[in-house]
Amino acid sequence: MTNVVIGSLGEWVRSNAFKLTLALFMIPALAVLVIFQLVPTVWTIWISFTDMALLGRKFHEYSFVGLKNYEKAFNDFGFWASMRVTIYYCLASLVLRFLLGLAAALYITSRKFKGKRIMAAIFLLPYIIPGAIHPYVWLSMLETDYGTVNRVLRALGLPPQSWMYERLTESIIAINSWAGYALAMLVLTSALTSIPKEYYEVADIYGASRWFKFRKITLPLIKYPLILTLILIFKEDIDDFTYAYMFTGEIPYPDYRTELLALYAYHKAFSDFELGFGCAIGFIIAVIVFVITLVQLKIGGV
Amino acid sequence: MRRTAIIIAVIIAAIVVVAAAYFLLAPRPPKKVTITLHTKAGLWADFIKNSGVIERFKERMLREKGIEVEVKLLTAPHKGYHEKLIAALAAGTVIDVMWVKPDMIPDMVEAGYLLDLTPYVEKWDEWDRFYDVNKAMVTYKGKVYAIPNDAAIVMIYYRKDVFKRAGLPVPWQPRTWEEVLEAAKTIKEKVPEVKVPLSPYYGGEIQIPVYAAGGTIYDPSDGKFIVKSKALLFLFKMYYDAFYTYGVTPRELILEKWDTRKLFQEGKLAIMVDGTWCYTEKWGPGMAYEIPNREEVVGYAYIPGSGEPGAPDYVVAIRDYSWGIGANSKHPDLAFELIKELVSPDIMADWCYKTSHLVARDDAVRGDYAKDAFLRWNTEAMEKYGVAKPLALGARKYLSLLRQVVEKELVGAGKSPEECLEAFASLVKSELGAELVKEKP
Repeated sequence: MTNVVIGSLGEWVRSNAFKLTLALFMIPALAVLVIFQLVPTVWTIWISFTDMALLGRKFHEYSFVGLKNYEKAFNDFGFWASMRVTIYYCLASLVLRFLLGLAAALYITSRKFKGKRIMAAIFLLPYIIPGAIHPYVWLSMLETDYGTVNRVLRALGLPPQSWMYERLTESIIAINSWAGYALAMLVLTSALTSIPKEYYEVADIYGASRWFKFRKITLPLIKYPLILTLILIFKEDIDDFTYAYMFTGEIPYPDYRTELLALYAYHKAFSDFELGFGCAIGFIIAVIVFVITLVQLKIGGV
Repeated sequence: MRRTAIIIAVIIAAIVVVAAAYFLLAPRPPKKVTITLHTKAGLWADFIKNSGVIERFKERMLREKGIEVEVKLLTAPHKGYHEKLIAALAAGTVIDVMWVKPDMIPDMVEAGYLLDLTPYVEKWDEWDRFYDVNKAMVTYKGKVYAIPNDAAIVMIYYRKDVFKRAGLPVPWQPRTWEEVLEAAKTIKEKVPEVKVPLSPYYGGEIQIPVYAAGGTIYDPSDGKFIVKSKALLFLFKMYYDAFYTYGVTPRELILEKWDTRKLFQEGKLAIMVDGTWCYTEKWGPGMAYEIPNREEVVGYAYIPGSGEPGAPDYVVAIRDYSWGIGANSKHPDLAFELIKELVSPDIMADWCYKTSHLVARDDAVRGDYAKDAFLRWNTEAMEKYGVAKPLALGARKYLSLLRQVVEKELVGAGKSPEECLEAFASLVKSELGAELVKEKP
């Protein structure tokens, strides 16, 4: 009886009706993907090849201009200035987010410390708080005369800094690192807890130092999650917008000190209303993210 | 049989008559309509909510047209308001009434966002009460696209207390730009705690020195923008003098986007070019940068001319805000009725008094507004020395490029006025097209 049921089920699975049913089940998800992902992406790419503007005649009378917007971007001072700021922002954030995340992960997974669960929850707080609130949290910290950061610097005998003006780029890097290190912490914690304890016990028997164990056991075993974390952080930061926008507003600083690429694309599309040009910059960012994703997939063995 | 048929016919006729009578005579519920009003959040939206203007409009529509109108208030923050408005319009959002900066009217009209209000104002007898200068600022290619809500001028503010400490005369009215720069230099020497002796321009009206030198940025006779002229060179020289020759404006003021209104409130900025609205909107009672003894501390003056032949004695730049109707509005008649209410004399006078703006119609000079000495001085300045930006397609871009050259080339890179003029001319040519620009000896 069972064999008969299994046999007929197998037949049905192999039938066209089953394939059709599966396809029907996929339609809602596919529709969502097409409507909300594919169409806007294709539409953005198309606009990037036109001179469409949100204001003036070009809103209706736009035309296909080929690679002109891309050519303009590569010859544009603002684009390269933004690229420089973005690379600086990404690399500095990468180092800080990674090191802070690794330190937090090592602390959480360590056997020696107590209260780790509470600390883990505290470490996660900045990641949970909505991004738009972060700058407000930091405003009082970064204030030149009475801000906490400068008070600490003075107490240490160091000169106070103009965090809201001269050091604005570094300020948004600090906020981003504080808000985002938990990502590295989560991934690395999971990787660290998956290392068998026996390895460390054997090392202890041979009297290995903490540094030796970290270098020879921990690092090799978390190598892949670690690289993936670095890529994830970089990917997250390359199209970052929130903090830069909140400290910049609608008009960029003359020296582009906070003009990340995503913000530059926004300013071009929605402040200068040059939608075609803005979309071209947006697409360049998308290509960068796409390449990084390919690298990530390759490393992940997907 | 025949009798029965007659009875049935009579009954049916009676039912039809009764039904028709009921349909025609019975009181019907008013027609319901919703219209949207898009304005800035905060001060602007709060005023509309609290002034009673919406209730007044709704009552009038019910009384006069038998329409129950719901006004849906849509708001966007002051910073980036127009960016959000344009994005909404481009996305096809139906906006009946919107708060519009006249500078944007040409571009908005060409994009098809604004309704032509000429047929409406032609039938509106109160349109004659609006000042010509304000009407001109909302008229593009001979058609009216918005109704002025208020006006303001951009002029010179100075700190009387700082002037007194520096031994400078108060009240003060400079006659040339050299006098402004000399006063700032004296302050720099004698009152060193003043961080910024002079803030030489307000970003939205960076072109003022061109008019102060008797020039213009646009020639309406041939529709061309002027990219090289003595007046433009004067502009670059004036800013160069402030930043470098006299050294009375620190470059960081621009490069680090210092908050000039706050610095002025703190007494760290002595002389600044800014708008009428700052007096109350920024430094007024209960505002973000309140100056408690404002009348004793804040002085104001006209912007002096260049002193060159043909230049005016003084100038002030006129700005204003207005109400437009969306081209895709389904209820333009009701929208116009709402605008009529929003710009009615008592509402306009109340708004202008509370936020230090200037009324745009002569019959709105009333109540507290009419008694206010600062606003009277501003109105007089606007009438005597007011110059407005041209309402032409491309003007917004031209001014944005001018600001870009001043801030990047002059302030940022320290280029000479002549180099800046060259850079500006070539930039405008490449962005607007050589056929739309010209040089003026």
